[in-house]
Amino acid sequence: MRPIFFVLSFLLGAALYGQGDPTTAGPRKVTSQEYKITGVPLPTVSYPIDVWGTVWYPEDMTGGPLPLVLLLHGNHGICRLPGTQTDLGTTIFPPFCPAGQIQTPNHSGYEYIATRLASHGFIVASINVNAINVRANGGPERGATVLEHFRYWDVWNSADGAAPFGKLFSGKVNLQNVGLMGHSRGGEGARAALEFSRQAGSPYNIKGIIEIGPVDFGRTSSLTALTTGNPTYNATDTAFSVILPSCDADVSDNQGMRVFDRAAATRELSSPTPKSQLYVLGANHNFYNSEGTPEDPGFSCIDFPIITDRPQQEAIGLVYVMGFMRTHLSGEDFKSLFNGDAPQPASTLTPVNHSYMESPTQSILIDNYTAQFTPDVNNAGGLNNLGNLKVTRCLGAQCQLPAPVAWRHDQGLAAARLDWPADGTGTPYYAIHIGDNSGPRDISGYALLSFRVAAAFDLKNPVTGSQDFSIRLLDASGAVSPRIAVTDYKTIPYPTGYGFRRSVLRTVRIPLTAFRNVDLRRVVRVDLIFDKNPQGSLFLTEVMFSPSPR
Amino acid sequence: MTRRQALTLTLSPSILVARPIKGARYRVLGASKDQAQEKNADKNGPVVIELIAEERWPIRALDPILQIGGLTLDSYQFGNAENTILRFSCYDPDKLQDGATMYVQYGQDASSRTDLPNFYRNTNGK
Repeated sequence: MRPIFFVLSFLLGAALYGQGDPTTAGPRKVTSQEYKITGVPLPTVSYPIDVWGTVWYPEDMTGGPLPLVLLLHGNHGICRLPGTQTDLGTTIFPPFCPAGQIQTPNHSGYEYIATRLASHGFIVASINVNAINVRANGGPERGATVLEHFRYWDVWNSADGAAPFGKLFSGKVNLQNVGLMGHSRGGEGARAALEFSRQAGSPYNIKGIIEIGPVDFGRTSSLTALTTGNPTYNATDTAFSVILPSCDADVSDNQGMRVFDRAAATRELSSPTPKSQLYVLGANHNFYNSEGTPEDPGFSCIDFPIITDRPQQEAIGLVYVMGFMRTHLSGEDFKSLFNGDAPQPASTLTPVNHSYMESPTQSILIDNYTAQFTPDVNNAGGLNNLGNLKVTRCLGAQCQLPAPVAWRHDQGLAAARLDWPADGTGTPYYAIHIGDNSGPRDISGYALLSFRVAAAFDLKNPVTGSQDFSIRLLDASGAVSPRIAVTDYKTIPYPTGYGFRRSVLRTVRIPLTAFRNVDLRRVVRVDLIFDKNPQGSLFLTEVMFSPSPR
Repeated sequence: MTRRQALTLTLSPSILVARPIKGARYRVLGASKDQAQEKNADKNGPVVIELIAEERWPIRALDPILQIGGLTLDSYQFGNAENTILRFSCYDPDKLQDGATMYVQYGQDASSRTDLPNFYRNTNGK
């Protein structure tokens, strides 16, 4: 059955994949121009900064106004020894490079993304934030800088335009159709910009944010944010995706996973929007920016080869940033890049583990282990029964126990740790009753059963290959679906990572059509049956029924 | 992968990848005027602790954090153009305790931890 499934899966994936690789060059010829307005005061910075960036745009801007994408780099050296990529910090603020050094063009490192996006009819500006780099924290400063760029783009888009562009962009920029990409500290900066824009009455419609290896300083519970007042910024009510490099030697605890955890758990107030996390095996922190110097030459990653070829990693960034912007700003369909329902594009060359939430508002949550009397009673009000299985509920840092499990998910995320076998006999199972009072539930309006799962750092799991188990549905008449193997859809690999092994939850999505023989209008139970391996240890959470991808 | 290799990997929860900075030591200075203004420090200003190394202090997304006993310092800037000096400001000098253990690391990346001589205000770690 499995080979047949894979063939069908590939064909289905190819069909779902819609318009194919998002990175193909578009029809428009692209040009660029740098801009720098000096001495601009910002409320969150104690000295004037430069509004500095480079814009890539189509020479032919007909058919507009065109969507605007702003790119924001992270904390990096700002003064460069000429002819090298040795970048240094400065001793003077506002920043000033000593004689013999030049400013590092950190914003130019995303030209490979900007030019390709612009060829599809985007106006793409990459912001240089050297002025606020090499300082503690920086989320509020970066957010304020992005908003200042928006204000200038508003002026450049006006009928009269302004220097340095004159009327070049007058009426050409759609500030109601904006996307942000933030790398490293730029990720948190993009979220801060979203927050500041909302506080200002949402003059700019930020349709989506994609982050690469972001920091989440505002959520760090200790050691940081002691003096600089960096609040927690969330990516809610906007489309969101985060790329987590598994071999990130800089943001070495993959803080971005916390951002996804919070975004996926927050019900939208206005617009239902998908959230995704892309855990890219082998990727490092710096190679997404071509101006970023290599990681520490001694760095290495547990069990998985680090990507050492910069173009290979840039190709990954290109796929996801372009796919994201073209989906959420241009209305094209590259959703399967983010929900993992279709095969990855060939250009990514390395496995990507997806986490995905179609919309918290439009899904039925069965269990995320936050209900009263959890784990015995689930969020849907039904009982969770088990056999020859140990179920331990954990919240935040509790999930680290027993050591040395490495858990870096958000402190508000709860999960169940499932260990088998327990002391009993027979095939271990976990029966989740999904209706109030265990009554039947109509799930026929939904498309998928989904859950997040990760292997614990535990020798009970296979070190190579994947952990596995089966799932089936039962309806009120007693009809039972065939058992579906999780690995027919996704693997559950042994923990890996940079520096220490971490359990990173990924989402498994199984189409309800796979559960034949049951009446989806009267489902009573989801059974997890641990019949594939004699032992194992998994984290499980966010069991839900989800709609089709929009 | 052989079973032996697999077991070796499985049993190691972590590998130390970042490394301490070579030749790190410290000295204690008086207040920096700019920092004192920025942080509204008292009239005596903060105590500045310079970390001097034989190589550059890296610039990372995660900030360097200086731990002196139970006191955490995260307000810093470079002290020279070569980036071999990191300068931390302490705005609660009363909390500095002689004899306290002292180290610097980037965020919560324990593998980046660089241990320093115990803190003594007047001996500069010598």
